[in-house]
Amino acid sequence: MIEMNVDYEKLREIPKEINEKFFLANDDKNLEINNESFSEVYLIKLEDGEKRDINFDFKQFNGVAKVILLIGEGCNVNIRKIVRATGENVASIDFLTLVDKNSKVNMNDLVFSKDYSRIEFFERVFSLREGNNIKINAKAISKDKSKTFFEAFAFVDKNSGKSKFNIKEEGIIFDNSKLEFLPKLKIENNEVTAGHSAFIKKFNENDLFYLMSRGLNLDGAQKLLLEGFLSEFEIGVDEIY
Amino acid sequence: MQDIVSRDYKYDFKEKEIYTEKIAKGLNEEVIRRISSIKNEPVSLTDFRLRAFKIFLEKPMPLWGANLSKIDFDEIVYYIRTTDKIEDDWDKLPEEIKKTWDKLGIPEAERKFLSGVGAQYESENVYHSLRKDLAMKGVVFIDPDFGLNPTEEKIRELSITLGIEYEKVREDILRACEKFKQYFSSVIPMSDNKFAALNSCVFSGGSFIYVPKDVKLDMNLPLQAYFRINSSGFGQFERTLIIADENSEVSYVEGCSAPVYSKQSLHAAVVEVIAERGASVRYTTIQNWSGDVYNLVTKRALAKENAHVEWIDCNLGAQVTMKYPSVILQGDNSKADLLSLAYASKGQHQDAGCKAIHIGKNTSSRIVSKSISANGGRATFRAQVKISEKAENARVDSQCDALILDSNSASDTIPVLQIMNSTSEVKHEASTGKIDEDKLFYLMSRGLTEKDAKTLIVLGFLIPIAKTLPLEYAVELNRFIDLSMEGSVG
Repeated sequence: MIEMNVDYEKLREIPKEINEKFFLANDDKNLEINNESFSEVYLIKLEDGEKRDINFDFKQFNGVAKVILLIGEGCNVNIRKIVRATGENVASIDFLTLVDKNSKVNMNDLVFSKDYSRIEFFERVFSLREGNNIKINAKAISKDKSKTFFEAFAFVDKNSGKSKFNIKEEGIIFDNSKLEFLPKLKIENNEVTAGHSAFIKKFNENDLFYLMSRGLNLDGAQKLLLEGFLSEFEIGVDEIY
Repeated sequence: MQDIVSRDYKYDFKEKEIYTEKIAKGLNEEVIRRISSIKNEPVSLTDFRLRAFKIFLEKPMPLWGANLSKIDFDEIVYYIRTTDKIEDDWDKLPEEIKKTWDKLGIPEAERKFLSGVGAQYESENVYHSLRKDLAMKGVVFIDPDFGLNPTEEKIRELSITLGIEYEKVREDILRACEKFKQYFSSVIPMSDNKFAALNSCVFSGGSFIYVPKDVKLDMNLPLQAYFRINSSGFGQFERTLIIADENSEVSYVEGCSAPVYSKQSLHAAVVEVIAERGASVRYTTIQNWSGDVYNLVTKRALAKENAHVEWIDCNLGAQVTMKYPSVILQGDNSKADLLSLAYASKGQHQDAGCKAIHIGKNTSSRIVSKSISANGGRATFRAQVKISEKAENARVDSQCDALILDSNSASDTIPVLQIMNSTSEVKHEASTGKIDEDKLFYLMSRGLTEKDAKTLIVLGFLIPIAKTLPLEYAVELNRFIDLSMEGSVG
């Protein structure tokens, strides 16, 4: 079973130390990492009241990365993350987001692995004070004997009253692959509305039948359904299929 | 400590401690040999216990889950025998023990709606009964000591008790005991976890049930076992094994309670269920230990082809509970329903959940969990769903809802979904929140007090679990919630 012995007080102290020690991300707050193989920590800090769209794209990433996002008071942030792995790639990516108060955070995550690759993706979000509205919409695809592990962890602090938290995980698994979802909620305040859902499925047979009865072959029908699944990520379906 | 255990607890009555055998506190080889010798066990069973003891010593305490650091294994009494034999008449029991069962209402329940009863007081069963018509059909409901060591003398006594001819009883018992020996410790090996190893070295009491092929017991007239601890600083380690043969049906209910002490007690049971092809087993637990008990139980079922296993697990008492009833869906088309209810109040940590391991084709499992945290309690739902590579067309539907009644309480939800087959479909939903203020306002504007309105909402929240309980238990659950809500308002 899963270890839950996390020292949250200590975790909250991490950003202060890292601020002095590590790389501060550039102003446009977009990160694209190609064919890298290293271990690195990124810190991104949003000041109070900032409105931002942040994109992360890990292409053929091979290695260990940790990204820490500090989101101040009253921010409105849309964060999109794409992690792709193929072939020999083994990626472990840990996103830690600390949200102060009265902020709205939307996260859209896509993780896909194919051709024997392996991805471990940790999305940990801490709501530290009141009035936050946080949504995590995560999608994962595992294909061709690859393995994907996706942990989404929401922690709502005792001081984080009147907050809303929602985690939605959806996964598609192809033959001989493995997909593991771990959506965790740790709620220490009763003024919080929190929920999570996870759905792992194959292609809906009725949908496939509908499309094939209109002349598409099986590949074409599956591609079309996959395109719908990926619609918010502007990513070519050919890259996956 | 007293503060922690001082919640309203209706089963807090103690009787004078009586015993015919009591082994001094602490655990070592000598204690294990003594238990085995008191029970006149064959050498193979003594060896089994000693092997388990080695594993127990080697295994570390679990580092995840609830805080178990305060358990002191040297301060626990591992064996107390209160009577020399198992009776079949409540009136034959010593007055102190009989009084306890009367207060718990077990003899009355037996008359009204049970097919058979096993009553365990401290380490041993003191009472056992089974309806004659079920025994005639070959149903066996006995003590594990009997099941593992069926002597001619015990069989003869049982035949007299049941009023059935000796040859028939002997044939049924020996057939069942062969199965018990075959499956004992097969679903939960002694090396499964530290507390399964502990149980395996000091186990005593519990139930062995065998339901023959095609025999269907009325699901509304369950077999019941009740476990009572009376002494302070005591450990109860019963062992339950249910074997439902092909196309049979059985429902089993277990309840438990203990008086409140300032010293910690330990309950570490092992429950194994075998549902053969087409069999159906419903296992209901109403756990209401006092607030000084550590309740660390391992429960697992094996479902073969077309079998159906239901775990209905209600955790209302104990200081710490760590219990995750599991089903291994080994056979094609097998089904599991895992229903869990947890109420965590002051000083309590209910770390409960379930596991569904899908191996066969077209298997399905349904997980429903409802938890309530109040007065500073913590409820943790922990589940594991595993769909193996060969489990084609597996279906899982999981729903987990948590209510947090005040600002001092907390709730965790930790499901693990491991999918290795692309034809499977897994759905999981969870929600956490407080009582809906609109609902509360609606009820209060119609004249209900805040407490009554909250009680009604909580009872509504628990309906999916409560409706699966036998009527008498559902009524008891309602009373429990009603009493518990007293401290949750204001």
